[in-house]
Amino acid sequence: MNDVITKSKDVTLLEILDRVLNKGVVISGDLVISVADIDLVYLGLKLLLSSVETMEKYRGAPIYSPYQESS
Amino acid sequence: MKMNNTELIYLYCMTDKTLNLEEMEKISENIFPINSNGLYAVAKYVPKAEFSEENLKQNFADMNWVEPQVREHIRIISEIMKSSTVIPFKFGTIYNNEKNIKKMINNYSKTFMENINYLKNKEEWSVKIYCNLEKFDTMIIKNSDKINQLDNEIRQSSPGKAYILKKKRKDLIILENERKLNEYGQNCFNDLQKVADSTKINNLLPKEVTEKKNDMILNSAYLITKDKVKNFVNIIEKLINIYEAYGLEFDYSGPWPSYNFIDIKEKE
Repeated sequence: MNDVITKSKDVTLLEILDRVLNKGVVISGDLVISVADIDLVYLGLKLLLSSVETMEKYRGAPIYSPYQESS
Repeated sequence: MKMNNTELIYLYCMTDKTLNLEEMEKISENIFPINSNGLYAVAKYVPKAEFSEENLKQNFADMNWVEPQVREHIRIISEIMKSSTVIPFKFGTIYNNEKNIKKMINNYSKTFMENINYLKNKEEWSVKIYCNLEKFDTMIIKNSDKINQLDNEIRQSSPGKAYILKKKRKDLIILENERKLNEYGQNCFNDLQKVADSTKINNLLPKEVTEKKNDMILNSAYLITKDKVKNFVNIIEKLINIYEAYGLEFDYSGPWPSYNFIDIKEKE
């Protein structure tokens, strides 16, 4: 079994935040706690990465992939 | 473990098999499984004083609080991932009680299972490519036939014509750079995609966030069958050999919990 996340020199906080705050299962939409049967207190914080936006400035056309993150 | 009314339940991930408590304790003293319908949520009790909606919001403004929390979040999921397939939850997925978590698991068990079956035996890897644009420019100018041809023409031209050609040269360089940067980025992506079960291109992140000297030109994630991971890493190493001279820098990491490849739609 592989060691966890070791191939790069060090795992930056950015890599982690980009995942654990921006992605991951969301079963009730952000802050929607009123979903009938689901008693969800709080879910989905994205304050930190709110400044992260698409930067297409350095590439004219986006690289083609069927799964593109919406900006 | 029994919770009291000053506590909430924090969820890390879903998995289809559980470690025994002893094994779990080795990962963290406080985590425990919540079982329903053949699925397990990996959970922990957290104090309301820290994790209630109000308090969480406040804590979230404090990077000194956030950093160890998110690192622990990913560490625990990654440890669980060593012995089972996981569906990672967002940081801060918190419920009031166990009963409601079981209800949630039952509600979503079919889609959880489908995702787990799809992710089984696969790993998520991240590849970010950065570019030293100055170095890249220099290399492109040096290797471009079109620009070299224009340089010859300029040398043999009258001052007036040379002036116009120099302007043309400037535009050409911008165009060539853009074209080549796209071409190389696309080539790298295509080569990596060949061994992947699925891929995802994520938004580029600005320097203020990456804290890198170079600009990010590709932010990508790959879902790789475990026995192809070595192959995948070899391809990256090959790409580094080819493109390093052009000022491209590769950052790759994995295996990550499959954050980029889970597909769970919320029920209305």
